[in-house]
Amino acid sequence: MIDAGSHGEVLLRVNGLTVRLHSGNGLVHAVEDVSFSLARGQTLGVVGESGSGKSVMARSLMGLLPKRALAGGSGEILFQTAGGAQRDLASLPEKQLRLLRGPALAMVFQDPMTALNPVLRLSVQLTEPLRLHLGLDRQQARSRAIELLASVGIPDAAGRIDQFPHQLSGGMRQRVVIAIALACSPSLLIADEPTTALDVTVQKQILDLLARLQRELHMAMILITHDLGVVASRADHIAVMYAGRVVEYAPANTLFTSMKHPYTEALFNSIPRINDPSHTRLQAIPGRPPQLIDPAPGCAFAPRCQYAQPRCREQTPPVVTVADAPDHQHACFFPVSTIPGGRPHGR
Amino acid sequence: MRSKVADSSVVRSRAQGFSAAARQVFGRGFGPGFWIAAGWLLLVALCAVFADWLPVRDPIDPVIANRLNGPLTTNILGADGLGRDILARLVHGARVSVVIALTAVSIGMVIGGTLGILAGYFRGHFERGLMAVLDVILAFPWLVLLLALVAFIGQSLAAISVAIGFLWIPAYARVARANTLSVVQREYVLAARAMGASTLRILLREVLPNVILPVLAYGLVAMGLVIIVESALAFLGLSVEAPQPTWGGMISEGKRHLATAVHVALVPSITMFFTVLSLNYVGDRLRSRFDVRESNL
Repeated sequence: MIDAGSHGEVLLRVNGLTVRLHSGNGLVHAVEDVSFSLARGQTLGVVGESGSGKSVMARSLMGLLPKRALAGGSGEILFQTAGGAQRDLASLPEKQLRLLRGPALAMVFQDPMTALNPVLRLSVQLTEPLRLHLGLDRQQARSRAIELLASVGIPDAAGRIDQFPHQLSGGMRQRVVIAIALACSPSLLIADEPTTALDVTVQKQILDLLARLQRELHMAMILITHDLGVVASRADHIAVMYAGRVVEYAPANTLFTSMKHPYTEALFNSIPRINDPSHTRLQAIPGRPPQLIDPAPGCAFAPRCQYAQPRCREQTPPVVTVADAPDHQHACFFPVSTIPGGRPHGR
Repeated sequence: MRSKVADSSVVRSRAQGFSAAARQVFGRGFGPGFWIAAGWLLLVALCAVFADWLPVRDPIDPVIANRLNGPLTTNILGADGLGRDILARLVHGARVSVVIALTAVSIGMVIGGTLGILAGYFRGHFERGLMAVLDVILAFPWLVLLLALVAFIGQSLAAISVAIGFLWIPAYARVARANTLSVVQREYVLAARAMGASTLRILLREVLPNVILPVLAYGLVAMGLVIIVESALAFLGLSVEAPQPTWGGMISEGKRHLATAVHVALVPSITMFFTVLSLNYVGDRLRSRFDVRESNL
């Protein structure tokens, strides 16, 4: 059991979440036995490469996976509602879940170019959730929407609100997407690669904005990314996902100083460093991520792992807790030995 | 040097600002052809609305003395085989054409569009069943189907509108379904669900506004086709009953006099030709102007 530690009240506790999806070629084991918990006001960074199940995991938390595609799943998603009651989102009927989406749970999407409806003015898209969930009338909703736009740093919010999405730049659009997501002050925000589609200078602005709003609203956040650098300084805990499983989970600074899983290490080593001598070769992880249809037995990372042993290909390593760090877990039979204070990089 | 360059670019951009404003007023991008076509359609529409008050002769009053007179004689556009004024009959016939075109297209658009959006959104058995039914309708020879419908529900203006409108349901359902399929894939639909929007709200707020533009754009082109379909019915004597003039009926009557008085069939034919051409042209230009995907916004 992975725990967010003792900071604050636990808002979200996920136990053994497993999601199977239909695809043209068979059953996709998209999420396998994922457990974690998240306290109010904290940030969980979820890191993994494309196809590691990050987005499916995030969408299943909100019940947004299309019913047609869903081929089964298990596990609990225990969420503390504003009233103090605990709800299992995994078994909540759609109607009740819908009432939670917006005021309790919200999501920011990867591509701001497609996350806004191109034919509706921003005012319509912003006031819709306000009127639906908070029962504001047209005038109240409009002035609240202008406040929201201003709070996400859009200059001349009162003038911008009647524009269409195509009149805004990518960074501005992502700010609007964030404003919509935060319209009803959710207690959990899931940001699914919020900066992947933006250029680097805008990325920092958007991440800073999310951090500021998170502080102001005392909201928990799940920050999904494929970029370790993005979560390094912004997440309290980091979960590294591979082939639908959380292979390592630790507080952010623990993860970077004493990583245990070879995949985390490989991911870390693949980041180019500014003080490397020029012409240093980039370290890639050899091979490809495994397909998630009929996965082979054993550790999913074994075929690409430089430390793999015969046992890794036969048994799936269970999640174990590091002896001297109660909130550091990993799923590896042969955790990498670490040197405190950093690892030698390159060979 | 540099400031000069900057100055001239300011001047240029200001000049562009003026001409851009002028172009907006005069509708750059549409071209004169569009405005001629639109003007023609406006004329037809005005004729249809004000037919009873326009200074034209009685369209059903036979003046035997004028029988088969050519254009620019006793009658401006000539007279038909019974000596009725062709201009008056065209003006009054426009009413039938416009009413049928509007009603039939609206029926097809509303029913077909709704079915198509529902099929595209909910998929599954409903979609498969609906598409199968629509394929059957499409596979049926449309004229035979139309004759059967008219024989069944009668030859009034309303009945013929409904019958032709029914024929348009499959086409509209397909257009709406195809557009819905692409819209529901978009992230903004997911984003709306993530903000707690119900299915009805998603259909009305997210899907409908995105599907309605291509569906509407198809409307003018469809009206052109409806006018032709109506004239085909009239040619077979199955449209609105005589003596009410219709363009198709006038062509049909004119065919008896083709050898001696070409204008009796030719004048309504040319009128219909220009009307259908204008509908297609205007419809096509509007579509490319308002289609978000084609204009590079």
